[in-house]
Amino acid sequence: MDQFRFFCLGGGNEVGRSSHIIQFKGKTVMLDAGVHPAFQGMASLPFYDEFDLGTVDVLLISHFHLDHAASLPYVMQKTNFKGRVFMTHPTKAIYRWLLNDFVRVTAIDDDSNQLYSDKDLKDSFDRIETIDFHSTIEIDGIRFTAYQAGHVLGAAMFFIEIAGIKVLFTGDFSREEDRHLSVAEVPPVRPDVLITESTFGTATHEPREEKEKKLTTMIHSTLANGGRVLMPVFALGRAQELLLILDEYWSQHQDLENIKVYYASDLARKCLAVYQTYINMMNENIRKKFRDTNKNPFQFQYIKNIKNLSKFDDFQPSVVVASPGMLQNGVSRALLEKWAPDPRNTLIMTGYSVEGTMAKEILLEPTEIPSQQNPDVLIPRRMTVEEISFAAHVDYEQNSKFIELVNPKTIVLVHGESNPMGRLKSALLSKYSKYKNTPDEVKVYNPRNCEDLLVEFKGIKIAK
Amino acid sequence: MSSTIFYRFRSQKDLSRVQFDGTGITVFDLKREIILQNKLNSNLDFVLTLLHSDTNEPYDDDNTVIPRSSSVIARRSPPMKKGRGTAGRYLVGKPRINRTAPSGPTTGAPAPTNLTGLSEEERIQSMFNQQSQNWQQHQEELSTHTPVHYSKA
Repeated sequence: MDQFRFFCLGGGNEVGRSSHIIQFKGKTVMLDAGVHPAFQGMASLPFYDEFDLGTVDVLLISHFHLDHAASLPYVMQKTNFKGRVFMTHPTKAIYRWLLNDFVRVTAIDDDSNQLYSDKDLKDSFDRIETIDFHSTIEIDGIRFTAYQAGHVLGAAMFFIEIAGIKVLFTGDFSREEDRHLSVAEVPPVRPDVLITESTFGTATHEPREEKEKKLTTMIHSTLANGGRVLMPVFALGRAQELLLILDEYWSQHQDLENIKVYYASDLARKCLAVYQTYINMMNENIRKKFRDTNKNPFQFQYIKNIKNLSKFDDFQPSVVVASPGMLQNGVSRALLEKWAPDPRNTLIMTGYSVEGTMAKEILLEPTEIPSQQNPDVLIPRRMTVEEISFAAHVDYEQNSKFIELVNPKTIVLVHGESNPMGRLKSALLSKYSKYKNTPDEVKVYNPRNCEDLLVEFKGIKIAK
Repeated sequence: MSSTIFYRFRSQKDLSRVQFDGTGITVFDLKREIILQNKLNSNLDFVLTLLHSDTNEPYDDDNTVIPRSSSVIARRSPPMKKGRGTAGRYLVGKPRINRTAPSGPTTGAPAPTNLTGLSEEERIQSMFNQQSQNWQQHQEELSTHTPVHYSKA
């Protein structure tokens, strides 16, 4: 009997700084290397001191979001990590620009806050290897395959095999078909261990059609009343999906022709080229559209890019999709402060808001908001505030259906706040209660950070 | 800023340093310095342990004085229980000072005297006193050593 070891350096009973270690028969695989978006500097890192990173053989990055990839340059340049790093092609392409932006943003307040420099990022970049979807790579007896995970462009689920033990790591995944991404795939082989996200716990989503309808009617009525619409988004990920929705809606409604839609993000502009390039990694709908019309769907007809607000004349109703998504500073905050006093305007929150940011505060609909430049100055808030969630994570129904299809023997929950994760665990346990004390018993674990999880498995000897 | 302690986080390759005055620094003050230097205070929900760089033994007592020019290893770990025994104490709290005078001859640097309520001059004076006291102790210790004379073999 051999022991399979799972060890969470970050992302155990929390959302953020995902980093997990799996060990079996002397082989070590590390999954993701993120930072915690609510904290700065060293405090945002996973607990790397608790594990000897020099022993890691392979590091797999599931997707480009900061909470899954942003501490990678730190791991590769500042620690004694010597392993090999893999991610998918689109992830690597976007990772470069996204982290470049991350380095700049963290350097604004204070240089000493920086975890690594742009040079570290460049030096580590060439050492990152890429993996295609559905291709298998074997390194020293560790075999792994990447499957589509939905969520964002390039997001992957990794199916890992070490000495006969099969592990599926989902990363962040979605099971709802949207405009440009395919749904998470179910691997053809049954894994022994499933490491899955639990962001939404036992919550349920509204159907996509309803959400889109709600969004477009809200925008349309605001514009008809002569108001402006502000949609704060993260530069990458869901922003592209929203732009596709808007572009399509504008093409179907002649009366909107004279109203401009803008997206104000330098990063989004740079990365749009990546989206235009990797159409073949998206779902059937968008590829079909590309083939039929012979026009790139990411070359928008009705949507213009603005570099900065000084070039933007704000004389008539318009829709602006701007970053950052949590209104901390930058373009989205400047527009919020400008538009907040007019009751005709609408603010639509589409992302996930973290405690302590303006995004969370504004959802409570305060009558006044503090100005960013001078917090003593209060700006009256009369604009309408609405929340329509377009976060691409699975809800309970989708997650439990996926788990049923994958059919693992052991489930490990990560990437979720304690409460939703705990609720998901008990929901899964009661679902599988009929197998209790039988050979088919399904075990569910929700380990905290740096808590050892050991599972006994019979290793299989394979002739090479 | 005459004295230095070298430290590195367990996962890091490079050494960093903390500078201070005097012959040694208490574990409490050193932890505080490390937390501030690395801006770990945006989230204090972690436990900071310092380890002896050679023996890997932890410095358990906050009042232990680490002599200058030593190297230590810092280790950031999650708290055993949420909010329990976390690093916040090193920013807002005070070290648990043992008021009774230590019995028997002390080895290494003497524990720093309580400096609150003293003027700048008096603080400097107390630092010099501490240093000369330390040197005296060291001399006494040296006097018991057997001399080894240099010779060309």
